[in-house]
Amino acid sequence: MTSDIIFSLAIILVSIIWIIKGVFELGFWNPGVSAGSGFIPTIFAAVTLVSTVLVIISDMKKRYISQNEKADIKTEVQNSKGGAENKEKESKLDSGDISKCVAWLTHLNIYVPVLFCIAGIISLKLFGLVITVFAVLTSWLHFISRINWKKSLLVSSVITLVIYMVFEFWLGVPFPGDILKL
Amino acid sequence: MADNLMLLLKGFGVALSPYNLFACIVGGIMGIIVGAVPGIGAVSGCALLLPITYNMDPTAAIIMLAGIYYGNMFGGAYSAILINIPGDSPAVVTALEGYPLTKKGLAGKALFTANFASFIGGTISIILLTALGPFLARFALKFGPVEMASLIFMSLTSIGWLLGDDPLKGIAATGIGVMISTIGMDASSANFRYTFGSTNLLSGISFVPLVIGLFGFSQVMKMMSDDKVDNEAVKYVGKLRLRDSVLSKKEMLALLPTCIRASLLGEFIGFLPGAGGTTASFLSYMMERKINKNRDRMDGKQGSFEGICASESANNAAAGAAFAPLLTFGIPGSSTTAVLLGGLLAWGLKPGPLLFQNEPDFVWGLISSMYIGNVLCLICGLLCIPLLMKFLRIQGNVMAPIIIVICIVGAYATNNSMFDVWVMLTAGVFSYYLQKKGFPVAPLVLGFVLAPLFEMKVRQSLEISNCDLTVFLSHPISLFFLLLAFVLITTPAVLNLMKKVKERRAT
Repeated sequence: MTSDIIFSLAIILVSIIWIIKGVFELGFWNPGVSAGSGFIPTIFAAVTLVSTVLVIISDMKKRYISQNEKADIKTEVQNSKGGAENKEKESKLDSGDISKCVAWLTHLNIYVPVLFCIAGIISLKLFGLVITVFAVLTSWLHFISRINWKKSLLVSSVITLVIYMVFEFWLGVPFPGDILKL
Repeated sequence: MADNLMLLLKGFGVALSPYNLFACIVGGIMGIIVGAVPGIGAVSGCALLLPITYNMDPTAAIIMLAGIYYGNMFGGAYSAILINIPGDSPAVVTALEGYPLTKKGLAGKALFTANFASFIGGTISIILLTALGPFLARFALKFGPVEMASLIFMSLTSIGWLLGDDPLKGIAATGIGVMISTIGMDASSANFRYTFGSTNLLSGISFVPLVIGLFGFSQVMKMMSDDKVDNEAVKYVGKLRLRDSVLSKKEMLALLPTCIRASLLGEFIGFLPGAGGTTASFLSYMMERKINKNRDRMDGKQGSFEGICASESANNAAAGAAFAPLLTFGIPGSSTTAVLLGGLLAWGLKPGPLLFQNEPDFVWGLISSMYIGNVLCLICGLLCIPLLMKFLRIQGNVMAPIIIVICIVGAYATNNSMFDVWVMLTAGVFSYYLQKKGFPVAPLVLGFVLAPLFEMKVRQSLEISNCDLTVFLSHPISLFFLLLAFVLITTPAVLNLMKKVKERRAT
């Protein structure tokens, strides 16, 4: 929930920057001439700002309600001892903590494609298309997807060949590759 | 009309000559391939292949380039449906509605629907181009900046269908899309906006890398977060036969009205200068979300054949229609036809009303070739389905790195710029979090697509009227669209109010 609010706050911050720049730097309205460069960006940034503020308020409301519900369950558990029902409720609270931990771990997983992409961009700039595509595919297939070397190399070779034929050979896209270009 | 038919028959004689027929086939197949490859698109495809046509006969050359253009509209749907990466911008809506069908194991039928809708859109477009081309192009010229601004305003206000579960988040996403589109040079005043000193941002954010990131890269991140690296569609893919993908006669008849409506709207949008296939597919989808009897399924989550029809028929119709203002007035209706205009001028042809009189073989040969090309694209598209379905047999853990590589290469190929790859990556990460926090992505794309045209037309209208805002009310067509926008905004609120009153009365 906190991350939701941080995300919304980031949108609000960007909207404010858009409005300030739109009104004070670019110009909002030139009477008798035309609308300024900041006219449309400012209007839409204001719409974004207002709607995101309302999103935060609505999220806070939801958070308040869910916190109250959790507090009610805890008090119920504390007040009465034993019983299958209470055990179930207790486990609900515990499972919440475990799921948080699992969510945190899987959250790190999502950065794997990001890291591969960054490595791919750097490699594309340095080594060109063929080496980059082949390296990204082989390393992912073997280390992330746990496919054996033989199959990984075979799949990577075929895909690299197809991509090379379409983009570089047929369409003539000029890929970089300052150090070693294939 | 009878004259047009006679000229059309004569045109078929020209188009069916072996050389022109070969050019048509090559253009159509190339268009399908270029359309299916993310990051290239019709404009780049035509631009890349324009130089090789300089030594060709002008009729064969334009037939080939036109084939690439409408073949591209067919092909754009394939990668959108199979891997959720639109091959070109008009296929964004197809990705929204087609990919969920792939996840349900209906990829074959979705691909068939896309081909069927593209064919209907293309055919209606060419028939109308033959019969009413010059007349409709004249009518479209009545759409000045004021009318266009109101038309786009109506489109932006009727995005309720795209907003998802939380309308506030949908509105915010639309605003974000518009804000991103304002980065770079202001086309009206040549001022640089929101570049923050970066030279890479001077030309703004390119659409294709943005869309590849928003839809393609974010999908890989989602696969990793859900730990669903196994491709869900694989479980459902049975036999890879064309007949298993074919829609029944009943299904086709049910989809036909959607295709016809979308084609007519796409045809009209195609005539408007600067609007193009992307606007046509979005507007058509919005219209269907309002009026289609199966509109509940068209939410971008469940996937619907009607949604694919709305998008594909409209963008194919717009592609065909864009030839009317190009040939009759020399005004390109889209960026691709602008490239074609360059080709026409290079071949020594002067588009305009006299082109029909002075070069009838060329004009009618081209129009006739579009009939042939449309049928050829349909045949190629249908034959490709079993081949494309094999793509789904690739496991998710193999598919993920392929998507990453396609995202990188496709984003780079758009403008041969490394900055675009960073844009794609940023858009992908942003889209992942946006969706995770419950913000829909589709309104962002719509805002991004429509905002530049909307801003330009609004400012032109204000310049014409010396900043008089009543100009939007004084033009009848504009007033009509504004009233329609008002109805679209207020209808849900009124219906809600009526529902509440009914409930109160009942209790």
